[in-house]
Amino acid sequence: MAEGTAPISPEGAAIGRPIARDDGVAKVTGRARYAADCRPPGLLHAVIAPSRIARGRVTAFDLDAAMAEPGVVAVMTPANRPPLAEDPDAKTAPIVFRLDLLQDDRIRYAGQPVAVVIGETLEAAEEGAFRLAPAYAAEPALVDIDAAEPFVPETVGLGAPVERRRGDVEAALATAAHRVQRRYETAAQVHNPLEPHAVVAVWEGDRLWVDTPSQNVARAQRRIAGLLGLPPDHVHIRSPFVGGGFGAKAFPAGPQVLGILAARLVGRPVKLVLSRAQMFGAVGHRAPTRQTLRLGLADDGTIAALAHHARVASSRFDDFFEPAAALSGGVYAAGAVETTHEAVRLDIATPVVMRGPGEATGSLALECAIDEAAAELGLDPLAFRRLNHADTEPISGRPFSSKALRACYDAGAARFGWAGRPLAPRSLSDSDGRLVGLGIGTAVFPSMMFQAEARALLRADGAAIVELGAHEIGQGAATALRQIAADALGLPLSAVTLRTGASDLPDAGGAAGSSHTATAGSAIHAAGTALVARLAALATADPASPLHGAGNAVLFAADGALHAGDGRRDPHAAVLARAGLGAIEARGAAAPDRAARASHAMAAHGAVFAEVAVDPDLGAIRVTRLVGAFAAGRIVNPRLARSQLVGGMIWGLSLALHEAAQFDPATGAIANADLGAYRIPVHADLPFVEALLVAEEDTLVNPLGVKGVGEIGITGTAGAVANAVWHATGVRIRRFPIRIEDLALAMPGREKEDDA
Amino acid sequence: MADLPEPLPVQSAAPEAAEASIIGLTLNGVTRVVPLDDPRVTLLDLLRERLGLSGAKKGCDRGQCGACTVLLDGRRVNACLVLAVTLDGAAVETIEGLGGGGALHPLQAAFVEHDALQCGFCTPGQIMSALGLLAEEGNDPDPERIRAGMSGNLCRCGAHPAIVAAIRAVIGAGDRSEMPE
Amino acid sequence: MKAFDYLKPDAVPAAVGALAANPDAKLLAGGMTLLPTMKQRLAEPAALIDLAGIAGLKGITLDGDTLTIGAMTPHAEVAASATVAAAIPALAALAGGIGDPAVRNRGTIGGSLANCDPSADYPAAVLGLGATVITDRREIAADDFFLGLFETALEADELITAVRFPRPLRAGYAKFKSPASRYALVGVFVAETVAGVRVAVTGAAASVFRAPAFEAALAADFTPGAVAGLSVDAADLNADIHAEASYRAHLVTVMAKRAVAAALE
Repeated sequence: MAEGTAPISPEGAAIGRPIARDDGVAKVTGRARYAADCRPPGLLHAVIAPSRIARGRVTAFDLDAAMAEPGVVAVMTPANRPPLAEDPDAKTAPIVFRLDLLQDDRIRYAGQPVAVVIGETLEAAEEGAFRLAPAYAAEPALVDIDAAEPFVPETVGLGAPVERRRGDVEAALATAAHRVQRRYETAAQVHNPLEPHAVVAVWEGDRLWVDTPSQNVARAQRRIAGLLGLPPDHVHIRSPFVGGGFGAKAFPAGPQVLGILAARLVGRPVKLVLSRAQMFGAVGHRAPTRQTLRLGLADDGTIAALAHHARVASSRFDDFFEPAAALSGGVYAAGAVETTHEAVRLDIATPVVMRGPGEATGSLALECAIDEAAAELGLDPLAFRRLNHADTEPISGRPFSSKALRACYDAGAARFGWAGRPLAPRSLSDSDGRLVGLGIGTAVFPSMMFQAEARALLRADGAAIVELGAHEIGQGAATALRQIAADALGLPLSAVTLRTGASDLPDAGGAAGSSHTATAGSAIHAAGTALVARLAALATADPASPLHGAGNAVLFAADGALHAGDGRRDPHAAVLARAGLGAIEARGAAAPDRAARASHAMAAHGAVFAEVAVDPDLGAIRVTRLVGAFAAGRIVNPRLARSQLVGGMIWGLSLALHEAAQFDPATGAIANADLGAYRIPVHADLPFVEALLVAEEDTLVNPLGVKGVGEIGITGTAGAVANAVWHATGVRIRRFPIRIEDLALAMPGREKEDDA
Repeated sequence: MADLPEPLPVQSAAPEAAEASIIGLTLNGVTRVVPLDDPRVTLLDLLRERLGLSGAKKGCDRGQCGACTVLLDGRRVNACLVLAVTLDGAAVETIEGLGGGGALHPLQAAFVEHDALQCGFCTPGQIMSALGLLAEEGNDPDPERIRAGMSGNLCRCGAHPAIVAAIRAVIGAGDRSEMPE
Repeated sequence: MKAFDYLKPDAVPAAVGALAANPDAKLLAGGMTLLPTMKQRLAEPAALIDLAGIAGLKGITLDGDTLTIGAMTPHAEVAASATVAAAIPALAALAGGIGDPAVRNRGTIGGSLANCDPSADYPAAVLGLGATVITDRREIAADDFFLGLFETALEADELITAVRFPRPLRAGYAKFKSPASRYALVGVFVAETVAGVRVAVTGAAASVFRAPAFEAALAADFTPGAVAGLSVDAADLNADIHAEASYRAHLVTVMAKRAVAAALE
């Protein structure tokens, strides 16, 4: 890798420009091809038959009835499913989840695939799957998080510590002047990207082409190749557009592999698309939580002790434990702090990461508890948060690599109009007689980074192609990464083409953990830097170059040319032409800086302000204004970053007020498994959502100074909305999402207002 | 790979020769004669699986998400809830028919400009719904009316404020919704 | 979806004849409920009889104080009709609030009534206004039409052709929508007519029902305050994942007040 080239091109370059997204035109014209849009010749349609029970066995199928449906070609059951090279229940890698691939007749959750019906038409396959009518031997299923026996898992999340402590929380609580202890509940939630999981699988001998949405094509390739016993490079995964993932497409799910196996079984291309109802089954969800916050407060308003304990649910057969308490180690200064978890096992599908895994639910509980503490002390909730600003990371004592939270408080409060907010709840109302409340929450999300590789090719015409298996999942990666590539190569944006979304390209890491721009971008930056170094070596060694003899160290690339500090320049194309080269290529890799990460805490921060209006008769809540101010290091593309932040804030609102997957205790199935009954916000629910970007520079987090904006918007927002509801009504609801009847029936003075 | 079995022989293809019907419809301004082998086929599956028009998306197949919104005789419908066989003589307009000569329709351009999309899966439905909204209800720029009129079109990424801003921009009502008092 | 035959008769007698000949057939109007139901395999008709080819089932006419709406008239047409807005504005407003725009463009009044979904809006207007359901063979008073959960007085082969509404002195409808589905979680239609006050409640129980106590109170004093202290018995109401019965009971009172206020506007 070259030393000495400028880490970032000069001002005026591509990074930082609010350009429109590269994939915009393809998406507004309907030309963007998602997996389910593919129709290879000879295509058959496969439909999953899901289990209707949550625990037990399948005892029989009506195969004859299914096959009697005209157009049904085959039924895949455990009896004839093509063999696998690996047990789908084997833990073959540190982070791998068990899959249900018809390995036996055992049912471990409702919605588990029990068979696949393949037909000439979708209509035939769907009807065949219905006619299969599995018979079951059902066993009692447990789906209630409060009814199961808890235990302490070894780790939470994807390998995070289950408990962390700094200081003696119990001692600090015992001696604190004020104590606040509260319990909060959050519901199970389902990702529900608008695009259901889909797979179009085409076998050619022992090579496999798979069109399927993925947030991590390299991981999917490894997992699928391992299960099938194929060399990874025989599995070609294409995922140019992902119609929303939010974590549900971070790991290959069982149904995607079943589509591939169905294609193998029938020897023809197969398309398998999950129904919306099936999106509530085998592709993961956010675990429900029960969280207890204990705070010890000094008379001066400082937090002496903060303890956050979370109980989370997981499946009986695999381990994913929502790290709901973990975030509390990093938000507010406290004399002593601890975060702990326990878990229960239920007859449900294994939960998985879902936008802000742990942070979303944990932030909701923490921000409510902080508000309740402020109320206990009679302090303004923003003043209380400022007073307890964490100058270093509380759980570790490490300094932050950068932290512009105070500026976020300032910017958000000013835009929102926080000043003058009355302290007492139920103080405000609007002209329609609705109760109005204002709430705040602090947003925080760790700045993660993973490993990635990228390849850059500069052609004789001065245009470049940058390739890596990155993921455009709607977050704007394709655009932001091309901006980074242009600057790394010193080229105008128009000269750079980005190829992503396929497993044949260098492994760019997953689009997860708000890390993709940082991770993949750093790899592109490294590849570009290496390529520029090669170009510089060619130029400085070439007597015909204006830069002949100039040291590499003083060169930089911009506007399609190499530049010396003294005004001399040599265009990229000229360097290649004189060298007689058709193209040059360079590779780059990126990985987190272990030393910097050991010495510093790294996180994006923000402040979210919510205004709600509550119908005093009905308890109906409308979030009339939502303003967030976020500092997330360097912003590669402000237009797209704002969209990400606004989207996250809407998820936060939804977490607080809308979404709950409701398990039917009688059947163990999710009772509201459709988009009519599982409530996600609609246009009418969102009158005003705005995200402000607060400047922040960070030289430690990664070479680009990028922190990530994908998930932070959820944090802070959910709590801000809940706190605003309390401020409007004086009623503190601690079970989320807030049910309007809980609010309506608890609201003081409801009866009095009844004589309109 | 040796341990994978040989593919099964595929049952002879033709779904029982259901008496095929033929419908004539105008699709994006072009008259088409479409043979239908199965009355169960919805307009959405006709477009996507038989006519190769995959712009309309299947997000729920129950009329609950709006991703399959198209115009039927000039009005918005969920294509997943319309049987193709009922469409003899109808006019259907899909996202593929919008714009012309390589130019974007103003709504399409406004969606790009306002970043009124993220993953893009709901986008063709949002745009067709916005088109229907303007046709059905006129150019009333009241954002609350637009929000109500677009609420049948779900978006999971959270592009809603930008979508409303894009529609208002096309109406000529300015491109930012002012913060309410 | 189970395979079915598709028929498209061009006259009411042909449709009724087809229905009589095929007991497992269903009539297809807008399809907004029937198609999802068939996709979920909750309905498996052997044949669909499409009513879209029958002229005369669609349209809105006002004759004196009688408003007649053809069975195949879509909600959007009722909502946008100047005739309806002039005669019974509450009915136009109700139609304009059903489902979402895509549903309103396809769904029909006849289909809604024949289906008799417990949370549908139209039954509240039909019962609240004391309308008459006209079929191929008879006229059915609203009070006799709604029998229970998805159950009406229609015979197996009977077809709704139109609904006749008397113009009220004033009327109002208020509903609280289920946030996701936009169905009426609870909707209350109140009407003051020459024959007295009628109050119909939808979304709260197995079927639309009248609230006699509310009617008596409003007959004496047609103001929101007259019903503020009244309530329906929660024991008779639905409890489901969308709302508890006690909250539905609370909603009935609040929506009744708001419907009266709307009627007085």
